Amino acid sequence: MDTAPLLLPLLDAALAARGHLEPADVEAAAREARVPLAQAWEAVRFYPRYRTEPPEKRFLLVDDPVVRARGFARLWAELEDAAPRAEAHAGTVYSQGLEALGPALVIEEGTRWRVFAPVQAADLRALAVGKLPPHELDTLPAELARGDGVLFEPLDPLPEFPGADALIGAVREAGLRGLGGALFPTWRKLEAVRAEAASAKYVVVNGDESEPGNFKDRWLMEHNPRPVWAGAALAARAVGANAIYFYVRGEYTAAHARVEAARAELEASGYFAGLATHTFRGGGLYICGEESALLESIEGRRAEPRLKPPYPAQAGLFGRPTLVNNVETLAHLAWIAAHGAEAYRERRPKLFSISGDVDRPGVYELPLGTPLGGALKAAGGAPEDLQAVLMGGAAGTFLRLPDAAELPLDFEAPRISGDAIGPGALVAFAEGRDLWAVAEGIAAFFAHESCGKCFPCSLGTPHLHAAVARRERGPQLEELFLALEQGSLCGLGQAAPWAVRSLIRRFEGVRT
Amino acid sequence: MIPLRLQPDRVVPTVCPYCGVGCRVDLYVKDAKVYRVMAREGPPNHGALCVKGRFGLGFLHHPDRLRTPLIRRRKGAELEPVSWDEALDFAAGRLARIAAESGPDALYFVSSAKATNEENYLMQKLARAAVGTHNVDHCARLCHSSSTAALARSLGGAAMSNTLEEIGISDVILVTGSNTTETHPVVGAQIKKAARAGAFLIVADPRRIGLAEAAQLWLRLRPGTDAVLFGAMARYLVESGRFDRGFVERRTEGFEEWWKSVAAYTLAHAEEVTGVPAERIREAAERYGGARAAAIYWAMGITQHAHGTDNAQALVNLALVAGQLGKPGSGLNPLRGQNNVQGAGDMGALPNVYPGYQPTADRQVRKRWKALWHVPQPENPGRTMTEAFESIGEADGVRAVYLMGEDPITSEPYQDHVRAALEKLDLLIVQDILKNETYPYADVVLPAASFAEKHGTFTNTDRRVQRIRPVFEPPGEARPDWWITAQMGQRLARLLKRGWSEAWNYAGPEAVWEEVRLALPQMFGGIGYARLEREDLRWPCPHLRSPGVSVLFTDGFYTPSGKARLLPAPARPPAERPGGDYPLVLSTGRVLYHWHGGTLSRRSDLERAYPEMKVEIHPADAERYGVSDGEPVWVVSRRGRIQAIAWVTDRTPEGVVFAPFHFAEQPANRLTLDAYDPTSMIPEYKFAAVRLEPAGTAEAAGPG
Amino acid sequence: MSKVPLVVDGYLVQAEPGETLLDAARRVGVEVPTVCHHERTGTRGLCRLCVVEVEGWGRPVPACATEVQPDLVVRTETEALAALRRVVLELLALETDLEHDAGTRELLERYAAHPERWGAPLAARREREPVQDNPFFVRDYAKCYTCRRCIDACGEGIQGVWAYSTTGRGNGAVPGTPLDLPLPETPCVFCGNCVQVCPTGALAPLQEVMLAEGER
Repeated sequence: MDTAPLLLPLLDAALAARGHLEPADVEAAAREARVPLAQAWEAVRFYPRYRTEPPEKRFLLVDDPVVRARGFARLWAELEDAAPRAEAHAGTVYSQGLEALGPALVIEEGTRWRVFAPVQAADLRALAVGKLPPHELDTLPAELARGDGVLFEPLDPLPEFPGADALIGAVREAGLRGLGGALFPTWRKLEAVRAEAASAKYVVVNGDESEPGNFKDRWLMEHNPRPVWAGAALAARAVGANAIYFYVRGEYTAAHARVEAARAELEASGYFAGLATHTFRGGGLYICGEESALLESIEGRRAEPRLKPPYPAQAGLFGRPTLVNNVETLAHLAWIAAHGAEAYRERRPKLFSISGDVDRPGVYELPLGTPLGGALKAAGGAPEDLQAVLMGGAAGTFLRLPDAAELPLDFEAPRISGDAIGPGALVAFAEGRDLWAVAEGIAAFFAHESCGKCFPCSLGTPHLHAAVARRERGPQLEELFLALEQGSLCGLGQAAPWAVRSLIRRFEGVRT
Repeated sequence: MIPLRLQPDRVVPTVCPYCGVGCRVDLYVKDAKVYRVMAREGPPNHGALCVKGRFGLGFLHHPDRLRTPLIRRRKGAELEPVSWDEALDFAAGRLARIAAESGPDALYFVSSAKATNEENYLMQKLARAAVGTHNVDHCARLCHSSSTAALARSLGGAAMSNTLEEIGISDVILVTGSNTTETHPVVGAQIKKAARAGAFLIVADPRRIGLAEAAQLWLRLRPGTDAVLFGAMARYLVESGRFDRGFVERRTEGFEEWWKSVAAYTLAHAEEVTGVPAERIREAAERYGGARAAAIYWAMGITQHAHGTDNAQALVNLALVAGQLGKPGSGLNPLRGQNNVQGAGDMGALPNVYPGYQPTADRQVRKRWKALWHVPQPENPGRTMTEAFESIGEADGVRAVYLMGEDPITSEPYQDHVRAALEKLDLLIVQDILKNETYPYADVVLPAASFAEKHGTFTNTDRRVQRIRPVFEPPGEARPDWWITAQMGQRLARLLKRGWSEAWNYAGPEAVWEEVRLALPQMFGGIGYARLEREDLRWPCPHLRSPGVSVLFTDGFYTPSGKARLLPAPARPPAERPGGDYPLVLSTGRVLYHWHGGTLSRRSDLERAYPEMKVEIHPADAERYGVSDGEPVWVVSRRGRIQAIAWVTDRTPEGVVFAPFHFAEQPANRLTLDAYDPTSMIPEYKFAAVRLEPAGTAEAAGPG
Repeated sequence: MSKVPLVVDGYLVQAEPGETLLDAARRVGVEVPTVCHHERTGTRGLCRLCVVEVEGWGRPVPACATEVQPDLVVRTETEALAALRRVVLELLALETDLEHDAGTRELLERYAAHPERWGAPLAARREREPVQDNPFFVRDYAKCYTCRRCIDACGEGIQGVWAYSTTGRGNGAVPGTPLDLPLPETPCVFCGNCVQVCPTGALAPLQEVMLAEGER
């Protein structure tokens, strides 16, 4: 099973060659990957990039919480007007990790994907006469990492493997948790995978950062991927894994290239001795970030979450014990291996993606426990002028300002009020911004990203979106919240109602 | 809850009439029409069916159903409808007269693997008791007679040694000469699932059949080289010390003689003969021999050869040296074709054995049956069906044939020969549910009830005895076969003065079954209709508390010594070899959508899925002989020619043309030859020399 | 192996090891609703109607996919579970034509569901035209809620031919065929085991459909 080539890279190769997939391409890929044609077709009809028709030129307005608060409707109207005149199709695409840069546009032509940010209404109008927006970008600007941060620095030399006990002990002592949002103690996952007896084990780096409002992993992958690889290699040695898959979000072409370049360099240096390493281009959907869905997509299936148990630590990639960790988590792990748990505990570093109505949006490394107000100030925001922060991302909650300004941003404190820092997104909204418009965008996002596996999510998220669009409140909506949160199979459906529920409770006085 | 568009008048639990798997089904009926077939849970089919059982029952409602008895008063006259009494009197009178003139052996009785156990019992009883001849046979002659011959002489039992429920517990499964996913689709799916769950699947077959694609190891042997392949595997196991020495020493005899017979079968020799690389043969042998439990499944690809018994014997030998018998998940498992072919054999519808496989040659046996039936038993051996058809027209040949549910024109080899023979008969009785290909030759036509119109039992391939139940009334005046045969028995007993005609007064199938139980207590003593209502039972089931034995031969074999016999299985070349004007090999067989002579399947929706004959031709052969995919092509043998659509595919190996035999209008058996296995008298259906001619070639060119 | 004792709705159950909570509940006559689970297919945990509460555990768990453990205290009917099931059933009924699915309609009644309170359907399900591309059965996907039993029965679960693909995402996820081909051009062998396991009547024998239409 794990000896055949993987399906998605085969489909990608065919896609790159032709611009779209013909039936013969899918048949050839299925044959080579030794999977039924039906499964290959499931992948083609699941992942959006596998077009089966020659693609049209498309102008895609990036739809994220920041732009939703800043006149999304007006920008969309401009684009819809301009696109046909440039013989292009107008569309939207969800958050691309560009929240810190302002409204963004993607121009898709063939397999080429060009990103422009920020864009103004005038730029969109100019598209009609064939003028491209002025600011094209490939990666996030390096300087988006603001201020100091140990995670912004190259880790040189890369740490040697200190032995499994020492490493896991240090990780435990350091108090490292999963920084992709789940905040699960990292040492426990390491121990669990290590304890499994299996002929093959895997480490998977989750670089599928698709949570709106977050871009810290993107920055790390684009500008400092070596420590992440180092962390993955150390973790692999600690758990006895023989291979690492680095799963990079599908749309992040530059990140993929830089992660792969770092891999090649480290491979050449001998750092991976005894480990097989792979950079994997993700499926390009939010659900791919769910760890078991991510594994499914590496295996060439629809990225749908698995039922748990078994957990990936017991039966993960190709049914083998697998450690799945977030990009940032592994960068931390490498730093802990290099500098020790004590040095780490002194700093308690955590990356925050701060965007919205602040002067200097960007990636910030702040000590855990920094008050929310302090974090916003660090980014040039004035808590007293802000009405709200969306914390965590789409799967997060609105906090009311200035009430929450003193909330310590750590693993535990936000839980008291039913919140969480998640992966560390803070999207600030000034007075006057329409938070319902933001919530509507979030609800639309979940409806669009639902994989279709479990009924509450696939049926419920579109109705949640419709209800939010109607600005509905009341007991019936609460029932839908319950069905989604308690009934859904995975975090996507479970978290779908959080933002709007927090909006209703904190800003409407429906419940106190 | 079943989501129905239509509420049924009733739902009747019964058994699928197609193959030997014996799938249990619920028939949903509205206004005397079956509109939905659902699989029942539990063995053998566990909630699954195939296309034939689920969607192929349209023949029940087909206009070709026979509804009235017909007789042809003299040769050349038309068939005319008559009453049952007149038809039966006419038929019995003619049979009695021929018996009086030429002796009882001038009559021939063809029983049916599609009829119930009870009906098969009565048909052989008709021959042996009412007429006094062992001239009775059924279509197993044409399918597994080679298997039963080999199994009977080596093991003393002629059935699957293990059961279908054990597919999931074999760690190695060897399938050979069986296109299981098309001919026994439910078992094919079970084997594939076992392979996905970790069983090591070895498929030995010249064609890239569905199972070959699912196999971990596919041995693409040349047609007709089976005995060498399995002989070499067994030889390698012994030579390398990987055989089950303890099993061979304790439980078999004849090793020395057998060992000498395989001396030449080295892996290198086998590679040369079979075309399978020696490495792969070695791996197959090691996997099979080294398994905790390894099962062999096979079908017609092994048996339908002029050396079919040797092929089957080679498999028996392999299982014996590897010790893969007498334990769960192992065994020798011939997949039986017809739904009740196992039962037809069990009921003694064979010329050489009484019910329960009791040899007719044994005087003690004959005495027992004489005591049971109160009529003297014939001493002359019976003819096999193939011999019987050969003898028609000869001085002491067969003059009258009574066919129950059999259509020799499509099923017998060398079809033109069969037609000529039928024309020479003094009397042909066709008892069937449908107008088949043989119908025009009949002197008496007796309309029979289908499986869905009567009570009775079928015995499936793994010895499971299952009840069938009527779903609706038979059409017109059609009657169940058991009733017709019993009526015939009354008349013949009276006319031939053999026993009391009252002995043929059966109240129904259950009364017949009670007689079977009485006669064969070791096999069926514990299986009664009442118990079958509640329980799944298989034979041997000697008493009412026995659940039936699943794994045979755990302690001893059913031979006089209790030991299994290893017997030489020399590889012999096919009867006709390709070359000259006939450079290709023709192999015949079945396809998923059709059944046997097509009598049933081609009168159902199945016909719409597969309406015309397609022959498989390898791309290289297609190019060589100018044949294109989807175009008509002539297949020509020394005996005749047929036209079919070419399916150019590497499913079939180069040099081999595969043709299904379901199509009466283009009968593959016009091409096959009447060469027979000397032991089983099975015809060589799997090997004939042919050539291809693109259509458009004048038919006038003629065969040869 | 020894039995696993647990409590379901107040009843003590001695379950077999490896059994699911659904099986365990059945042992004491408690029928937990489910529409995706089927004995012969690997589909479980999709419909989420069978979620039950386990004392000490966080979120409710699908009874069809959760193995028994000693001393669990399981509740299969609570107000929250009923509300959850009601919403899922209502949306199911709103989006899908359940005309022939008497089983699910029964559940709608059991949980006092009122699909109409959710307004207009949002999925395009009901507009799907029936597909009749073979002589044996009809695929009427307006009646399908994508429980995927058919897909599993065709592939891993029973038949091992893989003639169906799940296509699309979210509420647009629907059974389709590889390359969108008509079934006769796929590996389909028309065993009809998909029809066998279909709970909604979306897959139905052609004979039944024709006979039923004749009756109307």
